[in-house]
Amino acid sequence: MSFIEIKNVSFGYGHKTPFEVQALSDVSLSVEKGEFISVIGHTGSGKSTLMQMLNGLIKPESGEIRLDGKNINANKKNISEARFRVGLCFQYPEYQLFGETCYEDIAFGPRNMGLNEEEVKNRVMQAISFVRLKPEKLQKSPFDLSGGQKRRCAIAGVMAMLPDVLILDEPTAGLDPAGREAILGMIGNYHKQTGATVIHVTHSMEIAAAMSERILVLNHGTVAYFGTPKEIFSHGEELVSMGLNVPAFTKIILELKKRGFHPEEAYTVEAAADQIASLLGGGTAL
Amino acid sequence: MIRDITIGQFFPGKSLIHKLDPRAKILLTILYIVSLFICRNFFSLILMLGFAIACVLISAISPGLIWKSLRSIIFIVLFTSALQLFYNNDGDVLWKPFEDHKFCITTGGVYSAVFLAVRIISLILFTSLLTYTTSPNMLTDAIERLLSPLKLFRIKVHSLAMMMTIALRFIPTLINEIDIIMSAQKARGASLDNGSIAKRMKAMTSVFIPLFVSAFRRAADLAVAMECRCYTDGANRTRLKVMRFSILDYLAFAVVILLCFAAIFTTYYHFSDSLLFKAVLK
Repeated sequence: MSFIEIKNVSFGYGHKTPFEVQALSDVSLSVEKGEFISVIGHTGSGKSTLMQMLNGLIKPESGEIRLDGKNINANKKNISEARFRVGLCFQYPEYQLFGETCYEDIAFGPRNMGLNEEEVKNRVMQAISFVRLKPEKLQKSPFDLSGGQKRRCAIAGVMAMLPDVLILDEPTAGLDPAGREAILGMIGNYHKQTGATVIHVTHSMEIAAAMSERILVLNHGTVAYFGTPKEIFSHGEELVSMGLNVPAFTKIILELKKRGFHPEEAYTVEAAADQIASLLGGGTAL
Repeated sequence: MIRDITIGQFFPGKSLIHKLDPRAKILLTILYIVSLFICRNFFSLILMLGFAIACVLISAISPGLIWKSLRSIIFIVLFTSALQLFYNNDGDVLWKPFEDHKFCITTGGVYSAVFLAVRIISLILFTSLLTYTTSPNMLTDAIERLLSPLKLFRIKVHSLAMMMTIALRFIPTLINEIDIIMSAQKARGASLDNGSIAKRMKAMTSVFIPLFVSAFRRAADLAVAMECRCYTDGANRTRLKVMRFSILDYLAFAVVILLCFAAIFTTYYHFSDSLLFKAVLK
């Protein structure tokens, strides 16, 4: 049995009003323990809804979600267990900071778990080491930090609960390239050191391809594709027609195919360069 | 869920009521409320209720939505009716539980309880129609126009209207924000929907602090954005859509004024309807 199992899940917003939307329809998939998954889909594809279902914030209207074999919506105990086992970090998490000090804010989750103060302190220290926040910042107000530091403090607040499944909804939105790299590095760290399952919602196919073992593509509330980056990139044209931003090199490969060449699929810049070089008659790219 | 709040929400449509001039709608609503409080007996009240229902039907707003707005005030209706029921001791005694105590329920009590309930329901039906069928921007525009005579007293009507427009504009944004912050804190185990009241109150600080911070941030951003577009208060702007009274508006006025007179007539020149009421009771 898989670690996370999503079976025939459907959900809609605003029933019986003029603003009715079907967010998810009949979604089924499963994720193994320790996997690194990226989720891609344009706005309104149901990403956020699906992510919020995984820790019981939203109950599916039909279907069920099993975490480690247990239906998370079966009873209150299961829901609160899922809340702590599945850490969910929303978009722009720095807007949810509220603590008097960074320490208080990061300690919020662990305290809600009912840990004693010593254990809470351990968790906070562990979390700031994941996000590389300096310990002297802990006594500062989170509102005095810089934008990037706020974001890291907020992510630390979720990591401090040491969830078995870490879900991040566009953790790099609105950051500069350096900030983006830093955040992605932290997520990779957490994944390696704790062996947790990581689900990373992103708009960038490049990041998804580079980091994850499998990519989930959602389109209009249904699963369009779910597979390894290689499998996903073999559907380049379909991804473009769904309105997704494919990497520049994928566009080149697609264009080459249209012009009658037969390059192999490539999902990293290096592989694409090799393909183009071999088509040009050379060996491999330098 | 917080998303389900419908009071003050606008539902676009093409009915006759949607087409009325918003200024006319505000004035008509005031006129209706006044007439409603002129009513002293059931004949006039049923007339008013009938008119409200007719307007709801014309507006083609779905009955489910109307029910939602009524459901939210059902407690107030029941509470005030219950007070009337025990407070009013006119007429024949219907129920007297304690022989030596004044406490009792009388026909007069039942009469005023039902009367008040019908009055409040009519009031909510008609007034909710105003916000259901008028977009918030039209509404504040109309208020600005209606209040413009106050400019003579150096009251900044335009600023007031702008503040209202901005406040209305940000209600959905802030509701959305509360939703997200609540979810985020729940994801960190905040007991917002379970646990004791004290625990919940404490958890609410984790929602309100970020909410206030973001409200101030948005206000500052908006102020800068407005200044960048050279916004000055009260400049003599022309409008994209100029409001004009149409024949429809005059007709609506005629109907409601007629209704108002009918209410006065049935209240002051009509035989008492306690006869009608007693017949219903028996």
